[in-house]
Amino acid sequence: MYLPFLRGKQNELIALRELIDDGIITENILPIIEPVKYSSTLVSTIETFVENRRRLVMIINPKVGNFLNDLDEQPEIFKRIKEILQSPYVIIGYHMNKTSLMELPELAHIFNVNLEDIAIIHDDITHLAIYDELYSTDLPFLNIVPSESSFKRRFVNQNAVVINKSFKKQTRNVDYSNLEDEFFSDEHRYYESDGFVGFSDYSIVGDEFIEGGFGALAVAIHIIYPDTEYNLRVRHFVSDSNEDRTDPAGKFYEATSKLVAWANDINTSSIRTKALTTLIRHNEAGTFPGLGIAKKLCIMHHLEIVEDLLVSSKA
Amino acid sequence: MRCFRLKYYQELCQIEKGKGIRMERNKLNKFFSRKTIEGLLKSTPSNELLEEVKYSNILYEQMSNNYRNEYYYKNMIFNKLVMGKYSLSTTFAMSEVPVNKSKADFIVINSKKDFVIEIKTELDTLDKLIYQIEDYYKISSLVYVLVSESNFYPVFRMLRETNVGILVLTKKNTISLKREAVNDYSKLSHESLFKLLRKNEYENIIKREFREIPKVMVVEKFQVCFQFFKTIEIKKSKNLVFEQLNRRRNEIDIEYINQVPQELRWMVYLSRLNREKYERLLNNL
Repeated sequence: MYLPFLRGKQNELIALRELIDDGIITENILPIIEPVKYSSTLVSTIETFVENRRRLVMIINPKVGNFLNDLDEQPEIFKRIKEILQSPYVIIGYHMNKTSLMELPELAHIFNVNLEDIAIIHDDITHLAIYDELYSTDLPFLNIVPSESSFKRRFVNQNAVVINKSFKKQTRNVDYSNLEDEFFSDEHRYYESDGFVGFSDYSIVGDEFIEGGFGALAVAIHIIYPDTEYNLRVRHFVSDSNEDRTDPAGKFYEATSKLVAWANDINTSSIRTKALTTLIRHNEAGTFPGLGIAKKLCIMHHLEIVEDLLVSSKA
Repeated sequence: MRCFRLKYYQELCQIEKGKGIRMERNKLNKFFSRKTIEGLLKSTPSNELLEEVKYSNILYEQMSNNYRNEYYYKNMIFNKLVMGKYSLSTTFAMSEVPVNKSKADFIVINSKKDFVIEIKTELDTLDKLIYQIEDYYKISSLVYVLVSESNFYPVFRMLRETNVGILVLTKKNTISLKREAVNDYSKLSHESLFKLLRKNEYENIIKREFREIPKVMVVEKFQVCFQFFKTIEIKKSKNLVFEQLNRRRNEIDIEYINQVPQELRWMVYLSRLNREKYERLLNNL
């Protein structure tokens, strides 16, 4: 099982919603959403999962963004979110912290859920004592741990999932042009034999959460693809005219032209996902959907590729 | 008599209270920014913010005495020049505008005149000034530098052989013209001018000058429009660009900004508020 960890930004949510609506991803993929703020897209995305009887993990104490403030300020929204979280298809995710001994049972009570139905996200080994106390008899639904040996040792065969920083985020998009093609991940090949129930990463977004942001100098498109050994690699397609922040449409065309050339060259049907086809069509028609949509399509492509790999590995 | 005393006492208390909220410099920078306006537009602004805003004139006074930062300079230009000498009904002001490798601190635009002002506060160095000025002449024929008294002489010496005008923000907080700028059209650049515009703005120009927008793919439009734009005589192309920029004026500002305390005006102007937001802001002030 693959658990993409997404920050609940608009385009990341829409990517998930469309993949579910189109029936492209199945039970092989269980997204973890850390909502950065309240939005109607957040609600409609969760609703789409519930209607399609598909599960997702929704973190109720996000560490980044304004979500909790939004809930505090608007009681009607809080009520709405609380209702939605009652669905059996929504798994509550929770960041372990130093106040958890008090806070977690309290939250479990508010959201009317058992401790063993919660997905626990660990990031600090010093909170393990608190975890041990809370989960002395039963395991949580999931233990989501960083890729560090101390955590892996402790949580092997304990409903655990390891989060990897597979995507090497660069500070500037222009820096990807020197990399072109990189190893991304082989976790899907080994997680089961390593004693884990799933694997996780931040897709092509990276783990750092950046609020807002402004026009970039370069446009970069990140395409995940499997090599002959079924490892995942990422290929970066970067625009050429990057002196200033003007003409994103022209830069998108430059980047997608390189993508089209590459896709024609390797000519395997295994990478022709729905999202990749859409990107190629934009290039051929000379249309520009906006950079947010371009990112959405890259995420959708990644998830569809992983879905296909997991399906074929089971077959 | 008793009544007078009470009033006097109340005033005294207020001043004392105001002094009590003396701010650190980095906090002053944070307070005099658009974040403050965003905070005031919330349905229930925080009490801390409301308290700070109540004493914003005292904070501003503190700034004028010992920490005239970039906001202070810009707000001064806005109040004295844009609103005072010119008028919001004819004049538009922009700041932090990317021009080639530089960022123009302040641009003033009306139908008769447009010019760039580079700000060098007492806290700034003059390292990049020559390169910045070179960039600004790519979009405007008039360039000024607004400096502190302490920076006047070094700047004057540096710019002696140029057409750049010099303004000084005096210790008494007035803007004094030390040297008039001279028009210089020789360095205008079609590319830098074109890149100031948004899509609908350059399309307006192309439509007007060439009767229609070329029918090309969306991703080529910028380049193709630019090729057309380059054929317009350079001085005329500059006037067309600034005419478009001047249209970004927000008419609502004219009605409301006089009701905003002077020290907050520049950040309010930058926030480009509509009527509803102005009403909410003035309610919360």
